[in-house]
Amino acid sequence: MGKPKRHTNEPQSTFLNDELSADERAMLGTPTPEATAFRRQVDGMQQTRLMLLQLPTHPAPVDFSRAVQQRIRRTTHGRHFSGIPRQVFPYEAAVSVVVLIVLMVVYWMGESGGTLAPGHHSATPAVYQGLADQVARIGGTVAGQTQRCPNGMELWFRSESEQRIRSAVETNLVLTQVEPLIAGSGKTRYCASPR
Amino acid sequence: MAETQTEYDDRFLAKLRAQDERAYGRFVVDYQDRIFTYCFRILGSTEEARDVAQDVFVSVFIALPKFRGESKLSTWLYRIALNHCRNRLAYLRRRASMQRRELSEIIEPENMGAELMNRPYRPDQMTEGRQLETLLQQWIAELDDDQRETLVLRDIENLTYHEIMEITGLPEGTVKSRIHRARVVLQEKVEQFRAGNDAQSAPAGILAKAKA
Repeated sequence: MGKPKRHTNEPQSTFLNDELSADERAMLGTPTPEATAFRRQVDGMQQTRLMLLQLPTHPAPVDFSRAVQQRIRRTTHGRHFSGIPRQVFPYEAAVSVVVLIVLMVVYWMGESGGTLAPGHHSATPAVYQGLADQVARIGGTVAGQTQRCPNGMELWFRSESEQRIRSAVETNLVLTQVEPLIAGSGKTRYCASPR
Repeated sequence: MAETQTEYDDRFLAKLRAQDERAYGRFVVDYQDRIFTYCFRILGSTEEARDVAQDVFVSVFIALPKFRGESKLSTWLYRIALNHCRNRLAYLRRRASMQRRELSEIIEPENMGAELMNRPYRPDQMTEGRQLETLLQQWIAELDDDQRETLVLRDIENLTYHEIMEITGLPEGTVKSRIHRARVVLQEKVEQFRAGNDAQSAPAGILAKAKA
């Protein structure tokens, strides 16, 4: 590089750049009003410059380097930094927890015999137990799983109660008449099997 | 921190050019604070600075195989950072301009940086050093773009005129003029502030301290 370029209309910066000529330096040493005013200007600029130089270097945000690597991985479609595990955002964890809770509720409702939704049917032990209780209340009998009713529960009660029982279990069970009438008892055999 | 290219030996540079991931990870750690701060000084927003600084390192990684070593690595890095900052400022101004048209908001595009930095002064929440920095940053943000770019490189990043010429692609005379004009503007603001404030008030006291 050749001789530094200087501007005569920028004497303060020229001074700060240490580019004043010998004559100009000599002039500054004289006790003239011009020299005094110039020194004052240079001092002001020097102070401003010192303040700027004192400004701190801020640390980059935490995980900056990792974020850069992830961006590179995305930009290069995984050709670089593919070993960096993908950043998991908080909302992803929240979604997982919500899904887990929903699944647990579904399981619990299924186990407890509750109705999950219109049109959803389940024949759980609790449902059979409910049926057995109903049948017992109307003086009927529950035989359990039998040859006549291998997939469900055999029971018998008076046929006038059929509608009542049917409506109580129709969501989850199908009530099928397996024997019209048990002679002498006035009761009819049914098989309650899952829908 | 790696100040110059010479601190990286040829072997390390070769690894960088070959996009060696470990070497690049070290390079990012070495320069991330300087580039983040530089972007912050130019853009006036930590959020924007973080985003742009990350973009800078992505661009550098992709361009590294083409780095011929004609300039220092740090100079090359600053040049890419400056281009990214310019693009982001242009984008922010376009967006501000669109929002102004849509919402009739009064935002001067020339003072976009100042707009970003124009937070209420809270002496009770800021330490003295932060007060000084906030004042200076606000004044820097109010400079013209070309003045701000060169001033930050010279008087904050402490780069040489030659390095600034390489980074900005400007001739020496232009670089010096812009820096000088920026210094004059800043000096005027400092003096106006001193004149307009009680010498006992907090910010003026800070300036007095900095002067000492």
